[in-house]
Amino acid sequence: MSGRAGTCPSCGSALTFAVGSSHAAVCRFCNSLVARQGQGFELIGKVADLTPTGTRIALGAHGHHAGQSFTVVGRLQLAWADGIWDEWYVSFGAPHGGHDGGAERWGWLAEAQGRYYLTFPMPTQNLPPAAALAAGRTLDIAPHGHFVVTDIKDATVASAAGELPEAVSLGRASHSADLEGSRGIFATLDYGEDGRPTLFVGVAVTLESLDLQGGVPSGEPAPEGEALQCKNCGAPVSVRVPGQTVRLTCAKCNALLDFESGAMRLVKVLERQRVEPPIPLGTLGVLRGRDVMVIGWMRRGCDVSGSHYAWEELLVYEPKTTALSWLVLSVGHWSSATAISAADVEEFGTSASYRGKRYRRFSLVTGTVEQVLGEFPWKVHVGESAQLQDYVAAPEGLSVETSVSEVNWSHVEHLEPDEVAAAFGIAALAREPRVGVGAVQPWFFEAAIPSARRWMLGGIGASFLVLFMLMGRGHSVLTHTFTLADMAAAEPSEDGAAPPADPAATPADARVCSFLSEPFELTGREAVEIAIDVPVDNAWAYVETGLIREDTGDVAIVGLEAAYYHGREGGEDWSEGSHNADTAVSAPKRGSYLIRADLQWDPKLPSPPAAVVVVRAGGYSGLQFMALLAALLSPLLLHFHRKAFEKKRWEESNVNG
Amino acid sequence: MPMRWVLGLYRVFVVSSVTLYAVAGLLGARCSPAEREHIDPSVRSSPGGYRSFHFWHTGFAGGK
Repeated sequence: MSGRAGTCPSCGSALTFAVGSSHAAVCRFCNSLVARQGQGFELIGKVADLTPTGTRIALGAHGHHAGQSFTVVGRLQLAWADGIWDEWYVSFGAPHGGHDGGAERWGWLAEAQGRYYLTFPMPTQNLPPAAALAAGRTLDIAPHGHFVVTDIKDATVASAAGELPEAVSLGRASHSADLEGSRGIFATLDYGEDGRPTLFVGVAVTLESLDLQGGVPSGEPAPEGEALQCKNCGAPVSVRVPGQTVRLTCAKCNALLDFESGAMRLVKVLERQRVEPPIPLGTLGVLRGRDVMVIGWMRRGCDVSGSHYAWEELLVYEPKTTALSWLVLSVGHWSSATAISAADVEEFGTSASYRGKRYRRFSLVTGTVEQVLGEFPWKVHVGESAQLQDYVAAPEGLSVETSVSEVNWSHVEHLEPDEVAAAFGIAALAREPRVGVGAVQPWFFEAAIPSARRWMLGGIGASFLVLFMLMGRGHSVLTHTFTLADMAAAEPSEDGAAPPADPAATPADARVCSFLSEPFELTGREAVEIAIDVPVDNAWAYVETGLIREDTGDVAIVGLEAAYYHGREGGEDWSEGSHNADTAVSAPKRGSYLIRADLQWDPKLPSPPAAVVVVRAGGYSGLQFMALLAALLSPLLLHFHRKAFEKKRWEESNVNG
Repeated sequence: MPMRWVLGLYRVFVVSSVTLYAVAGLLGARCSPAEREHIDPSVRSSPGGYRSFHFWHTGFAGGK
């Protein structure tokens, strides 16, 4: 089918079908909806004027998607219980007449609450009936994959402009469901009058990615705001985001107003608020590189085990992308929440997974709106409630709100108060005290742990390198095994130079034998390690060693005991002590040295035990090395601090795992 | 920010600890104390020398 031109059957003005796939068009002079019927045109009826939505998309605009160019050729406005949204009819073929329309591809660019979805009609088979849908239900639609039903609503065609792919029935109610798939895949199921579903599948897009250029501006108000009057008190009411705002409050009288078709309607006058938003409405800020404006505030609460908990939520608008997000303030703890696709989240009982990260369920409550101020993209009202479920993996979290017809997932990120204070230029926010541990508040040292771990492992690695280097410097000075010959040598010399031992100091029945080494040289930077190994059995031995400097007579004396006892008592074997002992002497000055070792042994032994004395110079200190490792492992102590922190966090959980 | 201070202190601690251990090892420093005595030159020059002079028995009795 190719595009064609003719005249409007209502007013006679020129009417052009530029796109082959178009079956209807709205006359831009008389607002008549005209359908193509064979070679002629049929008048369907008159469409109402378009409702200003502050859209940035215009008829005739050109854009690109997935490497293909498209043109915006038509617009449909749909009304539902909470407002109006736009569906833009886009054609991926040549937009102007004289082409082969059979090759054209067309789709809908949906625009609602700052989000954009580009979808295309798909063959329909094995689709569920409308009655089978429920918010949160997962559908498997081959070959497109798994989808989660996120929104179910009834809508009517409110207005239209330009061309349309079909002759819509004005005022006809239709039932539709929004479906979210993983990685931005989006779909809708539209149920016509006959209840048969039509499937549209596409992706979530941004205006930036579409690179829309040109087109005929609709002359709608700019998103900066529109001055109107309160229907209750007559005070001027500024609508900061007319394209998305559906309900707002009057700052002067606190009247709750509906904002539809560019006009105000009084809903009710709310009780005067005493609590003011922590960030005044209309405040502009730069939060994490994004220019944002606070446009709404509400206080929500819940009751858990007889206690009432309340928190504040600020609606944040990003003019550049028209996206909406939330700032949440709960007992001094700030976080931001951004909408995500339900299909990107997997739930596993008490946990959920999003983008490869596991989140643990933290709370399950019924949250109720207690106070509202500012403007909102839905018909918010005091008393409105939804089931709220939070999952945490600090400093992030997931939050899901479930109602009868909607399920909305958000990705939550912790914000430090000083970050929020700096973003909006309100220093007082940084001074507000925080109570307890926030649900997604990161542990104080969380950010430092990766670096501390690297330094700890680096320090341990360096310690081992030093250890191996020192081990390489060690060398043996002597190894001596005591024998009976040593006992003979210990006897007084014939010239009677000295008695065998100090009778007052040596046990009366203990015996002593001595060994004196040959002289050896020490460099002055070598510690001297002395070790003994004595094969005693239910007995003791003691080796007293003197490191004697030959030229001065200075002696460093160390005593080592080897005592090993064992037995059986009360039916159980026991043992204590050791055959070994060792010690070290700090590096003596450079010079020539001797080792003198005196062995004493248990009188119960018939002969001196074969005690082995080993002396080494240089080497390393195992004790100091172990102390070093223990000190380097000190970050592990933070583990206990972290456990206490997490315990405090989970004390606030009402599901506790 | 306090956390940066903590991390900075730990870095300094790691570097100084490892350095201290390396220097102590290279200089032969040990924690173990040793009793110091002095042998009179007359003993050293006497026949039998250090072998025959039992000068430091401390009276260890040993055993259980």
